Amino acid sequence: MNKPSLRRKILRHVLWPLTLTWAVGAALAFGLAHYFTTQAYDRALLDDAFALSAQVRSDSSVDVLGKTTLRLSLTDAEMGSVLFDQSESIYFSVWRADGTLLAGHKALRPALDAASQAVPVWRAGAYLGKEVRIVSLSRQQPAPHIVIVAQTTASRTDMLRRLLVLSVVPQLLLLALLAWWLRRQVEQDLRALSELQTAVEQRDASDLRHVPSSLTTQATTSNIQHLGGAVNSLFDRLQLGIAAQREFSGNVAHELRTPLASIRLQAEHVLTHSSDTSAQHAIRRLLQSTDQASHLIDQLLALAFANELKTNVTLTRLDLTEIVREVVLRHLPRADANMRHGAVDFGAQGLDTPVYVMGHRTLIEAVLDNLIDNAFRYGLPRDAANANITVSVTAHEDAVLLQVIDQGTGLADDDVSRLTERWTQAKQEADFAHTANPDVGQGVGLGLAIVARYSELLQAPLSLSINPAGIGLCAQLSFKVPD
Amino acid sequence: MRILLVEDDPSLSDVMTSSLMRLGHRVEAAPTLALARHWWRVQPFDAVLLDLNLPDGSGLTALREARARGDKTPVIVLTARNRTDERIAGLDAGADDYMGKPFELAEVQARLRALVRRALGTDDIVSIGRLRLDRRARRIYVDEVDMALPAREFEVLVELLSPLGRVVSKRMMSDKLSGTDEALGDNALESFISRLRKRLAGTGAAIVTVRGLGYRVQDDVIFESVES
Repeated sequence: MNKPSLRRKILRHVLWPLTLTWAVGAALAFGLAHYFTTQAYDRALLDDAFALSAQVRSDSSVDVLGKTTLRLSLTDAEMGSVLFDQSESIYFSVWRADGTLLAGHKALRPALDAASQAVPVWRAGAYLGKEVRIVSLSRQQPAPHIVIVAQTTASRTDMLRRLLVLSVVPQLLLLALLAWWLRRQVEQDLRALSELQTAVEQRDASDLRHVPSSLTTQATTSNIQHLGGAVNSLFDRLQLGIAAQREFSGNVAHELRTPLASIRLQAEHVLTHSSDTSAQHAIRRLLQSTDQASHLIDQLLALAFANELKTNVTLTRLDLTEIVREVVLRHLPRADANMRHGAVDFGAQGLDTPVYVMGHRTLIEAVLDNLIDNAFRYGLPRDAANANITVSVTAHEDAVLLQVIDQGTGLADDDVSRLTERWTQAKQEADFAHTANPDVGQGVGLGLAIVARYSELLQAPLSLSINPAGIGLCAQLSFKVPD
Repeated sequence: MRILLVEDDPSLSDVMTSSLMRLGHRVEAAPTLALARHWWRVQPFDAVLLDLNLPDGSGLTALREARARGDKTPVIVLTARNRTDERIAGLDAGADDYMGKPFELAEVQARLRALVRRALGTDDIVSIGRLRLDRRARRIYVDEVDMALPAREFEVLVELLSPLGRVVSKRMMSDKLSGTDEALGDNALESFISRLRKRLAGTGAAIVTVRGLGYRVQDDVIFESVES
């Protein structure tokens, strides 16, 4: 699931409480407005009820039951004036204590009896299909009676609505404005983080320059300043680590190869100055061992180099034929040395015109060195006369094939995958003891593991197959063609 | 030959010094960068054998310094760091050759001789078997007898002997030997090579085909089986 952005999270944390506060405030304001509006309208309605009650008079005569006779001493015009309202309709009724109507609208019936205290009773109701607010007032003078006044509620509802709109809408607009401003500010403050991300995400071990000063010393906030500083310091440590790793490889090479060089020269010296055949034999074995040790060091360093390059190989456009020519020429003396044991026709094909690939010179050279070394060790047939090792470059439309083809014993299918594993020597070296090549038995089994690893780094898939001529091995790398 | 050997490993330095001295050279051994810089400044040498990993710094520092003051003494870098990029760094700093450890003394000796010859301009004479090229006189002799080669064959053979053992591709040869008005085609080149092979028979030198790469001249004792 996608995590929310920091900007969204900060805005959410600010805007939610802000909106909640605004909503509670608005509800409170509305409640208060409602309360005071109701109070104002009710007071006017109650005044009307008292005004009507004040006009209830008693006659000096009594009725047949001996009760005081009541009357409402208002003409219609006076009534209109007392109950005048610009926008609302007002209805009234006056009831005697016995429940008979003295004056007004008959349908406005009292909700209390005339003996009640002079406390007004409020209620909401409907009259003539309209919502009305009703007040009932019980009075004892000049004789017990009840005055009921009802007023339609359209204007008070309208006032409340207007109050609500006038208070809430500006607040809402202010809130939107605030949200926009906050978003802008947060975005501005977080821009430095995006810049830092851009500055860091394209980096690899070959590019550990410091991030721009706008993200460190000139950063607008101390947090970004610290973060930029921390990233730079991490880059420094990484740089030191990589340099140390390279230095280590160099030191290992130096520490191991220098004594080997010394042993070799001393052995050569003894070999040329000793007439003891058994000593000469031992020295030759010693020289073979130094060669083997030197080869092993080369291969271990090659694997270390692969790890060093793991995330840091930049493939560039290269002329493969030029590299192949150089490497094959470098290995020619070895073919010459083999003349002692039989002729080796070591050559190349496909080098007449430049062929460009996406590659890395050091890695391609190392791949070729190892494949050619392998071919010389294991790729010579039992009958070494007329042995043939060919390095071939073939350009196809979508790929360039680099092949090293020998005439050795070849490989069984099971061996092919096993061969590329570290420390796997081409089956048992004893199997090759019958070959005419004295180098057999000196391999240390890392060669094809290096080739496999380097081919991954070169993005040039490695395949091992039987030599198309039927005997021997064909090791092939398939390179990408530059765009 | 007076040689400055810059090598910090005492055992390797000793054995190289004694071996080179036995071969008739005079050797000054410097185990540190400071000493190497000192010797190199105050003494003239015919060649410098330079290790890079020295206890007080990189041998390349001394090399750059020497080149900066115009010193053209031939330098062979002897180092355990023989990765391509490291080799390039050495050559860029002004080294003439580069040898990875461990090495054979005979090879050091051969490369030293070649470098010094080049530096002194004394590589005008090239000999192999009974064949001898005198560049200055523009003559090729077999046992002091001038072969009197036709001009084109002479140029092809000189190209193959410069330097001895170099593999020359047909294209390189054609580019080098074609005149502005006359291109040297593959067929013509092959016929020159074929004629030269016949002329060289029995001289101890042979023109060998390196499949896919070109031709080179080598001692025919070793290569006669290839060509047969």
